[in-house]
Amino acid sequence: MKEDIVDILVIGAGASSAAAVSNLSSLGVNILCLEQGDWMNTNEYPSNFKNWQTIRDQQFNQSPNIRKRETDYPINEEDSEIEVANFNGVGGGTILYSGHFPRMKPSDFSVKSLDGVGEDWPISYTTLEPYFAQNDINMGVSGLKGDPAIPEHELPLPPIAMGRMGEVIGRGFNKLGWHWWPSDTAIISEDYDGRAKCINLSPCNSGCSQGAKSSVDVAYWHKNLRKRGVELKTRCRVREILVDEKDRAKGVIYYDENGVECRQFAEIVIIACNGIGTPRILLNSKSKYFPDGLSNRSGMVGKNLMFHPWGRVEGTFEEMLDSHLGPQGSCVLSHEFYETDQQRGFLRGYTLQVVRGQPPVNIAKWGYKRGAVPWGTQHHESFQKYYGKQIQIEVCCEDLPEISNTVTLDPNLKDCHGIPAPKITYQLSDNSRKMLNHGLEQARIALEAAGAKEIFSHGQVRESGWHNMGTARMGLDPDNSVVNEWGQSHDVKNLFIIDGSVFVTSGAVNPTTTIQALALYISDQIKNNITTIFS
Amino acid sequence: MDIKKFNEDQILDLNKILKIIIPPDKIKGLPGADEIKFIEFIEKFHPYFIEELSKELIAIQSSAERKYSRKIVDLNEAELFSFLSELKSANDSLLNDLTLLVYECYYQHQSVLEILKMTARAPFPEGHKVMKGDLKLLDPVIKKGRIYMEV
Repeated sequence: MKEDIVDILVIGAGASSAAAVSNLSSLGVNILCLEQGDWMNTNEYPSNFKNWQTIRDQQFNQSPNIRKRETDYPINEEDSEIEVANFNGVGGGTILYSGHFPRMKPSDFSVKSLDGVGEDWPISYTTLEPYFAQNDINMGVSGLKGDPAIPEHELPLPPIAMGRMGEVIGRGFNKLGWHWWPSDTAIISEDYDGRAKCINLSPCNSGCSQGAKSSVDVAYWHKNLRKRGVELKTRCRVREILVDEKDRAKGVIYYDENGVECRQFAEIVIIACNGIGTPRILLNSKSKYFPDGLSNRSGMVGKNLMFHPWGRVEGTFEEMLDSHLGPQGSCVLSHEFYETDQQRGFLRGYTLQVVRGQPPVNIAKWGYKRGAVPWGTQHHESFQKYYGKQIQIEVCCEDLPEISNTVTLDPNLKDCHGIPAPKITYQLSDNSRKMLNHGLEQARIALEAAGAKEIFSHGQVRESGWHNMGTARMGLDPDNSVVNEWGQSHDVKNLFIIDGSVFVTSGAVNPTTTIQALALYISDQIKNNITTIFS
Repeated sequence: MDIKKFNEDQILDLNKILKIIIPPDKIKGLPGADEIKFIEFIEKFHPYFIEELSKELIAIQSSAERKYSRKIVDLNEAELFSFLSELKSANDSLLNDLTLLVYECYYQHQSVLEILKMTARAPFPEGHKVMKGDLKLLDPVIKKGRIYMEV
């Protein structure tokens, strides 16, 4: 068995890890990151190939249970209304994300005080504001200053093209007097930091061949690894974190690229595996000191799993909008229904995220499933009615923490190393269902106002578990949370969690920018308090 | 994986079924689904489906013979359309799977995409042009002022 020691060990090389390592590297200490997946090769992304739509649905499928790479682990989702979407590799989920990058809002951090539900965060928007700004610069974020739905902030790059479809839906929102704005997007609209600008390949959510999408392998890791003391090892899957009799993390046991069991010792351990992977490792780290899993004396590890309940409304227009072109998941958004209005019959709110129309295979297949693109002589006419003429509005609802929504360990299912796999138990709450129905209806109204001739609604979308949050939440009370306001484990003082699992509530926006701001903030706390933080 | 290929009769049957699923459009010059090298496509991308499809073709053939006392290749288009539609309505999941794969193959086929004036190439490295859009449309939103809640 190999043995080694480093100053800081980081588990996972996704969004949060990349940001934290960037910040911590100025300490000049030895930092090792262990990542279970591979480096990505942009030449292998689907958009390099004519059959990109098939390749996307196979090797780059968002579900690890379908993708089944050697570097993935299975997830039991039988008792969940939402299926997990993730990616394991350098870049983590940012390899497949769309780069839709809205920040959480001030009210998102105080939902208990404002609405009497969930819990308040121990930090505020103001705490994270400088870290949001730093991360925007580090990542390369495009957008338009002046959005009245969020505290004013500068963006390093002008907004990505919204296209004709953006104008059409914008006019629709204007007709209704509703808010809308070009989305902050982690895609570079101009050449930036040695990277070439977006050329509208369209399928951002299967990897960006151009490197214009700010996945953290291109935005952070290449720079991180030029810094002294930073090392990243791929194909290294952590099985468990080791602790000593003083409740200090000693290091980890992991399997290397050859399947050899290794031990890596460290002064500080940071977990960055997000809302599913993080509780999985903690729950797999049982010892006589922590019989229910590491850092789990509160019993809160794996509890309060939050996704974003998701709806999809497709509007079809008569005129050609070329809506299938452009960054797939980003165009404009509306935050008209973001803040609580009790007259709506539910608490909290949602984003209307306007995304591009679907590529041809999806138009045909999705259309077939709902009877709109049939067999036979009607086929051609039906297909052409939709192609390039659709605007899609996604409804991203705030999910509130429920103790019954959990990540546990499956008693039977294991990964290729024999490590117990996660099991998801998740149901939408009554509040979420009401919110989702409201959102589907408002999206329909917006599309009608924009001139859509045919509208199709669908929700809850099962394949929408992109955002995994809440399963090791942050809080001041050690009986009710896993980490403190610095991301430091209440139970294990040299263990930090910096990913979406520390979210107290979910907001109603894609979480990556907030995850990264948190990672920068937590790593700043480690840096600034390194001499006292363990006392 | 042991891939069982189709025999000649099955290929004839399959082509007849493919042409029902997507017939040619002579006015636009679009090919039928029997002209898009579907078997090559599933051999390359969905090899697991070949054995299932082979069994399904046998089942469809037997069913057609029971109903019409004729083989699939001897049914006219109207008969075959009606027959397959019945099977589909009876929730023949493999027929639905076949349809989805046919659509997947058809809408990535070079000649189909070219005739429909869609991008018949890999998206990278050329990309696409998208108009920026008129940001003055945001004036009413700006005029309305702040809508987020201050805490």
